[in-house]
Amino acid sequence: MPDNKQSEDLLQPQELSPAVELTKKVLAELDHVLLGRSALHRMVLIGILSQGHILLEGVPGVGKTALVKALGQLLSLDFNRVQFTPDLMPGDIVGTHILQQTPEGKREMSFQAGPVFTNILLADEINRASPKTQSALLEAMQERSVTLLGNTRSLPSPFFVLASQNPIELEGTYPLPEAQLDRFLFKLIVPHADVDVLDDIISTRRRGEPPVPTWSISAEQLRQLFDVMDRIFLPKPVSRYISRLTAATHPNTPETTEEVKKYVTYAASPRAAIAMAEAARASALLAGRPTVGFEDVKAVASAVLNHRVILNYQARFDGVDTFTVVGGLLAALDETDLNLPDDVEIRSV
Amino acid sequence: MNNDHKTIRKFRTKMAALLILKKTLAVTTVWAFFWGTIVIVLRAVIGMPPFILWAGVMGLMFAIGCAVVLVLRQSPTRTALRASLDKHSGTGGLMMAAETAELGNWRNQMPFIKPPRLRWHGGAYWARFGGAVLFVCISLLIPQRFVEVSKAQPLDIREETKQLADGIDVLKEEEIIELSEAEMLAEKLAQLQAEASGEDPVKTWESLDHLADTLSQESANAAQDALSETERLTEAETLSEGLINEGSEMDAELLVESMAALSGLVQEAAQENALLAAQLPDLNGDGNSLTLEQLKEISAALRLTKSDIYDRLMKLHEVNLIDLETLKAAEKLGQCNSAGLAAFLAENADSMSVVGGIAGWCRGGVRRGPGHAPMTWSDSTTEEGAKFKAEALPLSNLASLEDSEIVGLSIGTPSVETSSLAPQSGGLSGATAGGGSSFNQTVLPRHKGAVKRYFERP
Repeated sequence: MPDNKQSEDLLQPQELSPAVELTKKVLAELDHVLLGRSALHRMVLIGILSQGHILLEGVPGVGKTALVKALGQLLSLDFNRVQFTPDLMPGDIVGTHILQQTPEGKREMSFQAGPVFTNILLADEINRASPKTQSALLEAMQERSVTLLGNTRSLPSPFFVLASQNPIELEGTYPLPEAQLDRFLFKLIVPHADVDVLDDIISTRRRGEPPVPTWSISAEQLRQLFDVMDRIFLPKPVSRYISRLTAATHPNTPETTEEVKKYVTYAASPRAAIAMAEAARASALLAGRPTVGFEDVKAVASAVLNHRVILNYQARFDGVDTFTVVGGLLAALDETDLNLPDDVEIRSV
Repeated sequence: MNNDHKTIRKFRTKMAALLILKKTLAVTTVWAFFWGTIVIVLRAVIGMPPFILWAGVMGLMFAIGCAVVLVLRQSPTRTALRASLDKHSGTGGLMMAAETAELGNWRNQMPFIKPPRLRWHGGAYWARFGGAVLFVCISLLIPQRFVEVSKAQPLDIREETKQLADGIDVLKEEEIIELSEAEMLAEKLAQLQAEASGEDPVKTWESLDHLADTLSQESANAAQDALSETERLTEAETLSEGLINEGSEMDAELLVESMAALSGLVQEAAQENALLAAQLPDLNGDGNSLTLEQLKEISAALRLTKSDIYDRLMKLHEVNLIDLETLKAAEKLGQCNSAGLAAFLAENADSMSVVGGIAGWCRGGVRRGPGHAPMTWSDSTTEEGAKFKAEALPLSNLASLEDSEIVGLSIGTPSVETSSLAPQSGGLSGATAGGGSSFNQTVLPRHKGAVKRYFERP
């Protein structure tokens, strides 16, 4: 049977190589600035290349802010940090109109842009702000624009929100609503540094200050990276796999697992499938490939799905978290959709 | 055709072969169990020969064909195979992309892709298949008698038939029954044994009882004849012994009469008994003068004949055709003391014949006895003037009298039957064997009204 070939051409090695080199340099520089966070850096860069927002979760002092700062410096992008507090108002983020006197002596309302008008917004401890303030970010995150008094203002491009939240000290916090959580591409856990990393930090960093990046990527180079991202090929079986994986987070789908049926209350939205496809493309780019493979999907699936799958109380009682559920789903679902019987196994030569 | 297509084709062929094998095993296992069951059922119910049932192999061909069709219809798509090859060769999507896009220079960087190995954990399938094949073989090769359920289990009547066969043999040997009758009975017994069925044992037992009754009846008749003959022979023997021992003391006339009577008795007995006829000496003339030697020979012949008859009865008893009482009766009838016979005959010569005397001597008979008191009879009691107490019957009894039947008239005192007419030992207590009858209860007069009303109801 002849292949149904399209005229579409893949990125050729010579086209892909510069982009791959750039990403390698960014990762190397990040690894140089922040020690012992290679996997996290890789996921953050995937998020940036996917032009998605990232929620970083970790206890204070593990380097969340330092990471975002370093990323802003490396990417030659504007960077604003907002410390979210309960009394923070929406206007404190998106900006407000203030009454100003013109040179002609008239008084008129002029717009004072808030910190959201930047390329990288670090929303520090985002769960401490009130829901009203949190919701002010919704439009900015999804539409990449802000509407005030009927005027819609576009945000700078690229625009990323890198939010952090503290899993402890939950008193007086406002858990992010599912609608807002869904707008984050990834939720990444920032773990504690191990002994060797701590040793390196203490011995090489005076007062723990990270070094300033010696190299940064230009806006043009960043745009080229995004262009390359657009040309990363997503094969049909992989897109099918992403769709099946997302659908399987719903308890009433045929390919789902017993854990999902038992523990999941709300499953992933179509936005999750889109995010997974984008992140898988970025993962393929980092791997130096022009096509997305199943391994790329598996690499990003957990970070994409873990904050979108809402578990019930039974899961809490049983000590089951989203990583367990998503991990079980990844293990159970056959990527290739061959539908082979359970007792037939394929082994690589 | 590039390497991708070759690899995919190889992979597809391998997978199809494996899945066909798997499906074929599953389908043939099911078919084999089904086939084996059908074979057992057909052999058991209608006794179909196994060689015909080997035709079920044709069904296996059909099952294999179905398996192939099923696998080919459910075989994975080329895209899925390509995705599987991509996954297991680690090309990171290039193999999948090659289906719809030009790889260009990436093709040179792709490794040579070989189809992955397929491993099937099919132990359970093979075990079930083996079990199914074994089941079919057993169902086809097992001897017919183990699967036959159409014939009922035979009834074990060997002991009873052996006893009856022995009885028939004895009756035949002793010429109590004719040879043809013996053969007919033996044939009937053999047929009964062959047709004895556990499903209907009553019929068999009834037939056996009927046969046993026939034999017993024949034996009883023969025994009765033997007793009568023994009695006559004993009388003759007693008379001959009396003549031998006391003949010299008898007067001439009585002696002649006794010898004539003896001759008559033995000649009469010899006509019915061949053995006696063969043993008797030649009786000269009319038999009124017998020598001592002749008397001794007659006595010996009579003893031998009696012994022969007793042996016959003993054989009948051994096969339970006559009871011990009959045997004892024969033994008792064979004994009669001859001492004093001459005096008895001389004493009663006027009142009875020698034959009557000898019969009275051995059997008992009417004698005067030791006392001499005459037997007197008074008039019978008259019932004249006897009255019965009048008693009014209840109305219900009066009504029932309408349907009563007169069974007889008597001037005797009416008696009341106190025993119940209801069956005492079950509904078949009044039934007779072999007739298919059941208990018949006579409807009492007092119940006839109820029966009548029952049949007159609208």
